[in-house]
Amino acid sequence: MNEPPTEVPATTPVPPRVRLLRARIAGMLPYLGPAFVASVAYIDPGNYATNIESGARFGYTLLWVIFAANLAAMLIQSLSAKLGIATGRNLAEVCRERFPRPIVWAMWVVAELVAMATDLAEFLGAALGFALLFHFPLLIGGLLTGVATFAILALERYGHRPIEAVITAFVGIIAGCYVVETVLEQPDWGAIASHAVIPRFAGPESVLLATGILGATVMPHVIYLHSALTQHRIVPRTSEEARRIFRFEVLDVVIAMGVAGLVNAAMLVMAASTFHSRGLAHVGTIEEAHRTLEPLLGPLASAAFAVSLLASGLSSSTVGTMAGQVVMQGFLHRTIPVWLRRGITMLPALLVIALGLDPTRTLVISQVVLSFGIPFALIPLIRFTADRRLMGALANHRLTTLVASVLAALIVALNLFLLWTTFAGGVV
Amino acid sequence: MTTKPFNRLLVALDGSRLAEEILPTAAGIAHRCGGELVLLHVLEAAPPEAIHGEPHLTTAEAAARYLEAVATDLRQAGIVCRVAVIAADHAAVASCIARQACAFEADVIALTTHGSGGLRGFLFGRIAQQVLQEAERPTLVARAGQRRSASLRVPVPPQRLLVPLGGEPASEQVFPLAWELARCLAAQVTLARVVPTLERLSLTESTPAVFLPTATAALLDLERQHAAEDLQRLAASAPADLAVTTVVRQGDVIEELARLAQRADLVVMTTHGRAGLSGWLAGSVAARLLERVTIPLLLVPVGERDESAS
Repeated sequence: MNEPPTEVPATTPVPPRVRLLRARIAGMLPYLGPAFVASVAYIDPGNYATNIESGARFGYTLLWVIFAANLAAMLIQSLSAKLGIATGRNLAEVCRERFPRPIVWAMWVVAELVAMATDLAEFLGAALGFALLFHFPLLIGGLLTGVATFAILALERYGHRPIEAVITAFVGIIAGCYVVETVLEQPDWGAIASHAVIPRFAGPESVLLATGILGATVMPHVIYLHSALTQHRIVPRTSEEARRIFRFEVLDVVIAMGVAGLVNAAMLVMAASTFHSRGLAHVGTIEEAHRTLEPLLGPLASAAFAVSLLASGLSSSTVGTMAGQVVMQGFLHRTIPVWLRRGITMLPALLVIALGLDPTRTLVISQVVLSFGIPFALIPLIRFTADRRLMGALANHRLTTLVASVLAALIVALNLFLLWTTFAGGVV
Repeated sequence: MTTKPFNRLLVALDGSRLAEEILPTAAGIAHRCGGELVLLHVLEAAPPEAIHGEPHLTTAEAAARYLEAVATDLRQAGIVCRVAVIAADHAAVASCIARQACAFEADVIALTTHGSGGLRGFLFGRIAQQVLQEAERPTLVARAGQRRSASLRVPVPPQRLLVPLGGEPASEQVFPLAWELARCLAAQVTLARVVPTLERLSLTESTPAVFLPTATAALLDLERQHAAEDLQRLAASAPADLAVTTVVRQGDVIEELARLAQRADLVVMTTHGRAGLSGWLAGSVAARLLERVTIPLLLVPVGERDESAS
């Protein structure tokens, strides 16, 4: 008697590599939320100023700079994080070990100047936020910012970041608003796509703004911070552990910078459609920028924008202060009290406010100064991460070193061009 | 470090019952480790009329009488004791205690901290922290108001030691002193390590984590694995006759250690001995733990003297 054949469900065998990839992705899923949240940390008043002024003055022209700067930042931050994992030391410490003392001191001075410029922008942004929100004079806003940043530093020493959560929420809301608005506005996607990938400038002033966008995106102090992750804690003990942590760092950087890049691009697009398309090229200031949110938030736009500016300024300012400590400790093996650093770095911002300089313009220039600081961190970083004896299994692939070197050369060339045009034609 | 690390313990007393709260532990250690106690009173240049609600010792004679009375009670319990009254002149009490520790070649300084809170405590640090900074030797310290027993002049040797360790090699400098103490006391030892969660990192550590949260979380997971391995290694290095257990927790360092301390009689740990503003800013684990536990801490100063306030 013939038995009816038993049906066996047809299954396609899953290749081991695919299984491994699925397992890896499943293992990373619980971690993804914080990476999205981290994108907020990359959005600070420096971005607000450069995005808004670029969009207002040059429309979509400089959109490609945001994407290029983001790709550059992803590469640079990944290299920095890798250096920290492989050596257990931060970039400043490795510089101290390997360079002559005068060079180390010079690098520290540059890093501190960059930290000052960073803080100038963040402090100014928060002061503007206070001033816009409560209709205070800017100087009162500045003094309030000083008090607030001291208070945040004092509270955060306990290791909790309750304020951070609130700040993240506010900046996140505004970031989300820009992305939603861009989608709802139905801009000319064809024009956006072409401007996003085809490099072009529109005169020396656009080069200045492009340099500002670069500085606001790459942020030299963040390069140092990425290498400081394993400091004070543990260093992976095996190549496999090191690679695993590095994969997470790449994930962090790509997701956070990717989201931040989209938000920055959306901000520029909204500034372009609100100001540039209406011939209001010279009204694109931070004080006016709440108008870019009016389509979605209506009368609330002004307050929401001011709160987000305040939140991002205060949050970044704390990060900037701590980054300054990391840099000084690394280069000099010394630190100053965090209160003293906080006090010193807020002086230039208060001076700018007291002199009555235009806040948006000052913010843009401060970001340009940041871009001049990038090569001082990037060139040693490329040199160290290419060194197999120092990096072991995490040493750069030759192609990575080549791409990073070309990037460094481009940034230096951009800086030199800007210096030349400034002294020859007086851009600034 | 001498071969007998508990040969002589200098106990600072100010005449109050609160200051005597360190005596049971100090006497218990001296008794079991074959050491002696030096009972010290530092006579202040302008002493207050009362301290902690009790009459203050204002003359050398009164101080000597008081110390002798304490010593007599301790001798009856079999403790070898000496007494010393020293005028502070213009030096601060903490400096004076530190100097006397050197003069008497004391291995350990023992004192109760009254935890003067408020601005003064915050700015100038507690005497215990100042002593720790200046003396550069182990300091046995207890927070006042934790012992309710009728008599404080009897030895109570600790039977359960909690040894918290950080991830840094410096924290392992607590050995071999901790092993020696455990052997003398025939005490059980718990080696503990608390790995923070992402939300509980210190300000310095959490700054890179702002940008790299998933990598930080993965790193902390890795740290927990490493911590378990490290503690096993350290437990294996203990003298064979000791009962050693290990525990790894994840969360707030101070909260978790305070929880573990509920099942211990003495905490033995290293400290950088940062006092005052810098200690407060650095969030010194020892200083913060002392505020949370009811048992004494034996703090072993290690590493370079940290002058920074970061």
